[in-house]
Amino acid sequence: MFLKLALHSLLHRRLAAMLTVASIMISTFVVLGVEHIRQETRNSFSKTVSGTDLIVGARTSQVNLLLYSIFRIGNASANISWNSYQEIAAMPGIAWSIPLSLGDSHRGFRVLGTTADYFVHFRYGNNQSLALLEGRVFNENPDGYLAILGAEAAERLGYSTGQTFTLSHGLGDVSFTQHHDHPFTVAGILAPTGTPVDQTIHVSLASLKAVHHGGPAPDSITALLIGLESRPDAFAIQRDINNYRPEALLAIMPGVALMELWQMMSIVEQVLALIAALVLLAAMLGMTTMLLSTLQQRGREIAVLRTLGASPLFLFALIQTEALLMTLAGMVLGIATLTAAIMLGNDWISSEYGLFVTARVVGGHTLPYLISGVMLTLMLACIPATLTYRSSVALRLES
Amino acid sequence: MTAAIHINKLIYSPDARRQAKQGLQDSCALLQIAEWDVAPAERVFLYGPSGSGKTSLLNLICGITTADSGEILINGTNISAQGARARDRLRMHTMGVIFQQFNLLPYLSVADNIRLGHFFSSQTHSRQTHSRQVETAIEQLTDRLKLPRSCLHQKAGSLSVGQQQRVAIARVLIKSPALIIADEPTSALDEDTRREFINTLIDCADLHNSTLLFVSHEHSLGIHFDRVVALDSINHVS
Repeated sequence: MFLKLALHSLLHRRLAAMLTVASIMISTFVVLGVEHIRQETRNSFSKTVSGTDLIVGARTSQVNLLLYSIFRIGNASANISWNSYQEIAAMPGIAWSIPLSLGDSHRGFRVLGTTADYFVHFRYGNNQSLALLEGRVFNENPDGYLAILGAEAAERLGYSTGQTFTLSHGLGDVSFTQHHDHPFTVAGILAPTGTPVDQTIHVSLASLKAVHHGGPAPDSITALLIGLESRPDAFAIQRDINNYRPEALLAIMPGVALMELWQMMSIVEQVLALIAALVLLAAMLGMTTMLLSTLQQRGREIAVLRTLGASPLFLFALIQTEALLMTLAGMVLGIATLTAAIMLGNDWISSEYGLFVTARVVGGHTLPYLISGVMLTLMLACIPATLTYRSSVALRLES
Repeated sequence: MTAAIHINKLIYSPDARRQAKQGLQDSCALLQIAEWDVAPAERVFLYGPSGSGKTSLLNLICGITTADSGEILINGTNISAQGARARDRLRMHTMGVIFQQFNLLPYLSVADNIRLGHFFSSQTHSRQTHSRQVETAIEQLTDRLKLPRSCLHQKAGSLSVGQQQRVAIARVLIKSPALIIADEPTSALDEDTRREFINTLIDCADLHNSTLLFVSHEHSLGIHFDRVVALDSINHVS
């Protein structure tokens, strides 16, 4: 009966109540959206690379090198010469190295030139290695013009093993320079990883080189992933590479570079979080205002309930319940909209930014926001509820 | 036999506290009743012009306000000496109040409005508001009050004022109160509806053996009642 009373009282004022619920819905959407995407970005970034001790590229900033080599965001400003690569790969203490060559694309998907070592040594997530869904990976060169597709690239392009296609120079869907004379054949498709690997088309370095210049040996690569025999050597080897004479190179530890990235982003994150919190506060204040403005018309209802025997505490609880109902309705709708929005926008986000955002919006990371939203509701609703309480204590029958 | 209402040496001056604060003495009382009784199951018509203190007296009897001095005994309990919570409880269990108008919550159905009367009076605040017993009682009441059963599921706000007032009676009667207080309940009704309303109210009070205190400024309504009392005749404000 109590809930029915609260519910019908709200329905009676449905326009004001609906607008309030809508504002809470929007603020929930913003607050959870910001927090969820922040969390998912971090997860997604930190699981993209695993087991790689050093990343080497032409001298640039740590973050830039990390972004273009691993996340395929942005472009390299300069390359590493083939000689430098050979020398560094041969340095003592280095267990394996994977050369990466970027710059070509096929219908919007980036093409990565690498060696067979990539499929052996590259790790993502919790030290998982790449697995094949079908077909095979290319062997040591020369093995013809073969391509291994990431799961999403294969799905979106609709390619299966045996399909042939040509690469275009540069990035972007449409390119003027097509490498028509050297069609590639899909040799294998990788299992989904939830990392940018899914959107990458892998070809051998040798074939990529052949497409461009026709020579057998490549003359430069974009970046180099390195695994060490012993991790404590990382600092020494990093210093050696940074001091490499013939060419200006930069070696970074992925974890350290990620930390720097988070630090750079933290100000933006904090500003976003602050804006989100203020939006929530504004919605809550709006609800309080709405409840306060209805108190005027409630005078009669309060008198009726009081003479029926409702205690002032009952009326206090009634207002609180109405506030709570509106907040919960707004939050549920906000969560539903956010989930729907993420599900719809997922493909775009992952192909555009290489970020994989799950639709599991409610979790340990967003729960504190939901709980504090409810607490804030109960606190702010104390204002109209207390006024109701007081006016019901001071009630007189009036004719 | 205990009187349904017994008033003894009552003094009530609503402005007293304010005036005392301002340092004024000799505040003028609004009500000063030496002694007045209403017997159980009596039908009493109390009349007086507007501003004569009728509503204040009802506020005191209901325990919504308390007297400055003197006693108001409801079935032997001095309501004026009780704490706020005890007064609420006494009112909820022994009294039913019908106002001039707006007795109902317009957004609840008629049936729910009547259930509300039961909800607050039942000791446990139990959820037994949909029990067979309550349903039967509601149907009997609507029949007796000549309300069509179809209106039970309508919103109370959609009924005519006359029908709303009859629903208000039903809501009071569902808890079979010892004392029914009606504060100008007919002032919004036309002549015919008014007579019918009063007859229904008295019949229902008879059936439940309730005391009825009916307050109005219209002297002419007095013919329907056992006893007619002018407030001026018992109120001795100097």
